[in-house]
Amino acid sequence: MKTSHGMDSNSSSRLLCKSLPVRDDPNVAFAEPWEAKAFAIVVKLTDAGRFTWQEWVECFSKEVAAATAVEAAGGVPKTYYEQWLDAAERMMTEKGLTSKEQIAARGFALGVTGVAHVLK
Amino acid sequence: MTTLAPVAASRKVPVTILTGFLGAGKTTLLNRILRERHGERIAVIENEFGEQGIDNDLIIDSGAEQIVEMNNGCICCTVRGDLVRILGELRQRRESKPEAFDRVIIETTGLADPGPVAQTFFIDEDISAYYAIDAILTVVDAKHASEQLDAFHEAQEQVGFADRILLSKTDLVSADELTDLRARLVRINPRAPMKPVHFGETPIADVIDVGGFSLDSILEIEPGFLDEEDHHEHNDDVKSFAFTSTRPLDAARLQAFFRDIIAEHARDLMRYKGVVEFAGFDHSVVFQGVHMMMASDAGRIWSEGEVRESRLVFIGRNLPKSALLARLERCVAS
Repeated sequence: MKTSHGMDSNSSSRLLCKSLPVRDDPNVAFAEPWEAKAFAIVVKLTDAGRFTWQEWVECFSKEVAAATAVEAAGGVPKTYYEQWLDAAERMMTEKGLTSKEQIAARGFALGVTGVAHVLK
Repeated sequence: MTTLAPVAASRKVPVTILTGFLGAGKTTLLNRILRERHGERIAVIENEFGEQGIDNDLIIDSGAEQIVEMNNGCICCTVRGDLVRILGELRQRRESKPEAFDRVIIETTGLADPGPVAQTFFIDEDISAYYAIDAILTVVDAKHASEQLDAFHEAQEQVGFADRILLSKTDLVSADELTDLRARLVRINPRAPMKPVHFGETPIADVIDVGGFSLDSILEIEPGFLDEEDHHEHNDDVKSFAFTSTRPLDAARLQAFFRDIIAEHARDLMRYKGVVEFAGFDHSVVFQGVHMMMASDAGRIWSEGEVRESRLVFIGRNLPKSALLARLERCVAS
């Protein structure tokens, strides 16, 4: 039994989603489980008052703009949720919920074993 | 029934895994713990009821060990199906009645491999969201350990997996025999402190809230282990080695090292743990693993003037020590 970990969050969040940049393929909600997790974490953190949805929209929009510019200049393109994740990391770092060091340190095991074998 | 969201690590139900050979004194120790901890309710899971009764309200026989391979082709992803079922039932019981129990002790059979028991807590998501292993405790019978270590690889593995070794029946052997046994156990596992238990008598702090799987716990290596030479009377399959460096390591290279060692030796690599300094990081990075399951996190910030020593310990079966040490040497940042 898996929960939907906050996916059925309040409808105000759902309305607020309309203010977000649009996905490339709106027919597919999540291509991989981690995408749903990344989405849910952001929704949960706004629900918990760690940052406002407006702050998130601004942060994510900036990330999308930056990634679009990189791609236009011939750089490696990023998927929607890769940009989402980058923005989420930046947001959480700015709010002091984590640090670049902690993200890097946790990424060590992740880079070794892949997500299926990382101890939680 | 509604499934609750995962609980924070600190609020997970702590689980102690008690291993040790038949007759080593697991049940005696268990009864002792159950008698002493009046304030806490302990659920006990056993694979088989022994001759010696256990004095507890909540004791569950999980039936025969059931080894389940989770992912096809992933040799290290074996869990204990019997434990998944029992722990799931216990969780349901506690969700409807929170005072049912505060912690769990799993007493394994004498020949059990602790690997699948430990992995059950990491691989099964419903279990890992609710329970956390506190430590693997291995009771070693000082009188019979030497023969058992010679005859059964399971005995060596139980020592290798341990966060703490509890030596029983030390009064039945000479001081020399005990010294030899201790030296042998250190070579198998240099990071598990050894504590004597006399008829189950041991300070409760030695067996409860040990934090053996906590990344914050200090990595202690038995003094003398690092300087030892490789000439020994016993050539156990399960051995350990340590690598230390006072020069920072390169994160990408160490990551590649771990990818290789896991690809080549995951099944034989039982426990590993490290506190390392990476070039360009002002805090230490800590990690640990069981077979191919690994966790890492930021450790503390190195203090001013501190000697920044990276230390890594590997415990496993027939690991090619000198080749691996040479590869670790190449992980030192240039």
